Amino acid sequence: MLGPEASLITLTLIVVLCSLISMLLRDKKLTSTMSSLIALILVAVLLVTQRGGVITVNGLPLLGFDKHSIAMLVLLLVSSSLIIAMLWREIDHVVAPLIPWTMYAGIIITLSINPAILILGLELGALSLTGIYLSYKGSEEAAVKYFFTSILAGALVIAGTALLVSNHVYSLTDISVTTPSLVFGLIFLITGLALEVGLAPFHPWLPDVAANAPIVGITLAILLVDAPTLYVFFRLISAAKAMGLILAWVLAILAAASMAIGEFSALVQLSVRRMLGFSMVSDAGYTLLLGVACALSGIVSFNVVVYFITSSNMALALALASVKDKDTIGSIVPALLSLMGLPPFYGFTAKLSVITFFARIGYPWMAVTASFFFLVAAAYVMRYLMSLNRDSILKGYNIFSLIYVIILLFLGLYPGIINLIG
Amino acid sequence: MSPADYLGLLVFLPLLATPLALVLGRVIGRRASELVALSASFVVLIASILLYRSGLEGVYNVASIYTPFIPAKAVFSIVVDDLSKIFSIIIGLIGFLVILYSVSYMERDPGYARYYAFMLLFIASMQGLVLTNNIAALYAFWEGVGLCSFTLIGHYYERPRAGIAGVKAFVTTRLGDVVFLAGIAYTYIHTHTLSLIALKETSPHVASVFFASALIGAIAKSAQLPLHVWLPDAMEGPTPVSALIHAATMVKAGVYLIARLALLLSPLIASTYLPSIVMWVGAITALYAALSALAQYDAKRLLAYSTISQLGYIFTALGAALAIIGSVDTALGHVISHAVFKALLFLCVGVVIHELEPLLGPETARDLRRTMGVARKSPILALSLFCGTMALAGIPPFNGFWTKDELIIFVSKVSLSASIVLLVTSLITAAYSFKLFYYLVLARPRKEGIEAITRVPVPMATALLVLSFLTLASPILIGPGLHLSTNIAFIGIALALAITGIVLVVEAYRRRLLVPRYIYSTLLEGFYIDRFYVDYLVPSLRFVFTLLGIGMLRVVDVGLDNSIKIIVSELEAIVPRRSGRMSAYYALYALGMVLLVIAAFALLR
Repeated sequence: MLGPEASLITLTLIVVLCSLISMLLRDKKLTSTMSSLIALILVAVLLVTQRGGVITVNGLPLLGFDKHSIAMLVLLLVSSSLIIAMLWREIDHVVAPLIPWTMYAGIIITLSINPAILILGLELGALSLTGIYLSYKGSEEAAVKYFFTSILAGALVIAGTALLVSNHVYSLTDISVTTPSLVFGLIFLITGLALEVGLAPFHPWLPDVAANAPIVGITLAILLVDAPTLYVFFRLISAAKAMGLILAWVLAILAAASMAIGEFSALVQLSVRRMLGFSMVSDAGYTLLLGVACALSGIVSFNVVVYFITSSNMALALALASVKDKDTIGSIVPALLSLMGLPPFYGFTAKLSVITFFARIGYPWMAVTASFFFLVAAAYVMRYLMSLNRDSILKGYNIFSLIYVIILLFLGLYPGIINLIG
Repeated sequence: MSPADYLGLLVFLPLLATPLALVLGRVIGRRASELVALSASFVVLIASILLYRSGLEGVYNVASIYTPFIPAKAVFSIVVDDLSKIFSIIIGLIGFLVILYSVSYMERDPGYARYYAFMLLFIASMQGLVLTNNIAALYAFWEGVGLCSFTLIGHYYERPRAGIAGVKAFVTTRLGDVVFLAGIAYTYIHTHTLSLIALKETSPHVASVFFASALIGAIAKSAQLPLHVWLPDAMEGPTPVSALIHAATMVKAGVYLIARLALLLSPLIASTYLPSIVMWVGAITALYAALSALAQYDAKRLLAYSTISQLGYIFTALGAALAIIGSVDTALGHVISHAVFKALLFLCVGVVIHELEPLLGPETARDLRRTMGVARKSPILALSLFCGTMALAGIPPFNGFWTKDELIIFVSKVSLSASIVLLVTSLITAAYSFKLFYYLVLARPRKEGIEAITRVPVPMATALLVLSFLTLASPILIGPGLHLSTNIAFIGIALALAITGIVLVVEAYRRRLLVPRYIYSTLLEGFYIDRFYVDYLVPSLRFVFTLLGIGMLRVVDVGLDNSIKIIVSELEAIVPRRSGRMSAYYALYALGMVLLVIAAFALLR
């Protein structure tokens, strides 16, 4: 078992080294294989890292290697590896060196328990993703939109962090709101993160970027920046103990608004990529609602949130990665079926666990609201699936998309494996 | 080893090997799939033997991993007793031998990866089914068995008959499954537990309802009258699949369920009409299927009807055990014998089909009239057929003789009339089993150009020889043990009837006796039950449901569709057109943040 410090050093060295090597490679097969392998090497390092380890500097906790974070990272990195292999034609020597840094950003964001480290991860992710977006012709507008949004989000998170630190709050996992300046700090932090994950009304950039950014970039963004930020967002909300009556209801209304705007807007989209962009907005809403429920009840279930975030983001990434190429178009069907929550896919287990969690902790109205919006999601997914060509679906699989689908199925049948990984 | 280790090796190992066989088969090739399937099934066999020989007995709670969809009170526990151990070893043994045999049988089949993956899933589902103490898990494994049989029966899906047969098996067994699920829901509502063992503590009323629903599920799964029609058609799948389904898995699932419930619930339901129903469903099915088997010339259909008939014997014994709150050992003994000789016979017929199918096509290769005498030049095949048919006919010293006689004597203690039905069935069983042996080994070839089989591939021969040996040794090696019955009169009558059956067949063929055409057709068509379903029952139901469907469509068209259209068009009007301008987005962000701050401070005050 590697200690947390040794693990971080190993992860950093791998990322730096692989990024440098990727610059030297010219063949697309080699660059994509390299990028795909990096993800698996990072997974291997995470699997041998000691659980529960915390990196501290001068008594300040910076990064925490807890089992849920590691399990989530393993799933997201394995998915990234498969997505990169599926999209190997789009990965050249310009994009390949940026991919390890995106992975590194995902790891830092997920493990961060200190606002300063979170900022570092978010900025790293924003820079590497902007670089990836700018590497493709026709994606410049998406890159600019993403970059400016990230700058604003980063600024808000920094301002929020400054206010928290001035109130002697140094950890994201233990915030007790007592003073107006702390409320401001928390709101800045929440707004910054809401911008990053596309929570309504901070969402308009997200469908634009989902529709116009290069597929490699947007899928990696979903898996390695969006999912970890959602996870941190959940941790922040669920850990804000004294927030209860102050912010909980406002956030619950925001969550419901995100779910409603996301799902109903997705229902009327003609472009599948915009549709999935709006689906990401609603997913941010569900995660926020879970966080609020945990904060109000005092019962925090990391299993449920890991299931939900990984299931929806893995399905979204596969759907987006499949949509462009006729060799992989078939896998959009299981991806969307999982997204809509059809058994036995992973999405079903995740959505069921969300609903049963709400019911179990005494918030049946949240269960009913979530169920209703899950039904709306099922409606637009079915609407899109009915329009697909049957022959192309049956032929459109390659080995990597097939493995991805098997993983979605396996996780649906045996979600407990996530606990074993962690 | 701990119970958790056994659970891991018997259930989760083949479950994990399933995707591995599929993916490695596609990526690396045939040998990778075969290696994964063979090694996983071998480990399952060894684990099942170790479990059989272990001193474990009772209910063990295995540390459960968090699963969100299982109710909070449910605990994943396994039940280890003679019943589960014996079923586990049958599944392990037949599963491994069938996969070994498949290495040769499936050598030219392009769908090998899918085949091995589902075979492993089949084994995992059956092992899970016989080990679990959780009713929800039992139902999940029950459905897993149904799914695997559907895919494996329809393995040659490009042949229309195979596809239809797969769907027929799935739909027919689903009828029983739905009733079983309703029974589980009813029981859970009343008992608030999903533990199988805890059913002992329930009220007689709940026990009766649960047993009745499970019985309907078991009747469908174990192909008993009147839900047996899927099994003869299931022969469209690869022959090793037939061997597995008939000997160790699908049809044995129902038998296991009734045997388990007999152990748990017999004191609660012995006084009801349910034991008699089980007994008479079994007895009538045994006679009916034996008569139908007599007229078959398709070797696999003959064996299918034979399975239905032998399961009828086992059901009769289970009914008798339920009635007198007795032991299920006699039924269990015949389960083991049947598993061994039926797997052997299917694998023998599989050798014939494997050799002749490329020359004659899939259907003709199974026709006994076209394949007369093909086994006469292969000592291994002829010997295996001899052992299998003699065991099925109930001739000593083969296993069928000991267990069948024991079973009939046991039934006679409860119902003399049921035991007489079984005795008559013994005569017919001997007749059709000898018919199979006569056609494949003793008869002279009718068609020129069909060469007799001289060589059996090594993996196939190994499986045949092991099973042939077990037709002699299984009563000593596995199960409740060999009981030499003291009822000499019954043994004498049964043996005399079996020999009479064989003599009748020999005489009938020697004298070229012809059965009246209408009798022959009735038997061949299985008393027209399937024809009734296909020609009358299904069209009637289809007509009713079509009418209902038209009504529903109108409701959907007029109501739901129009509502959705209205909602979508309204939403398009409400959702603002996107400008794409960042300045507009920033204004929205600022507004959102201001609202957030105002709301927070308003609530703070």
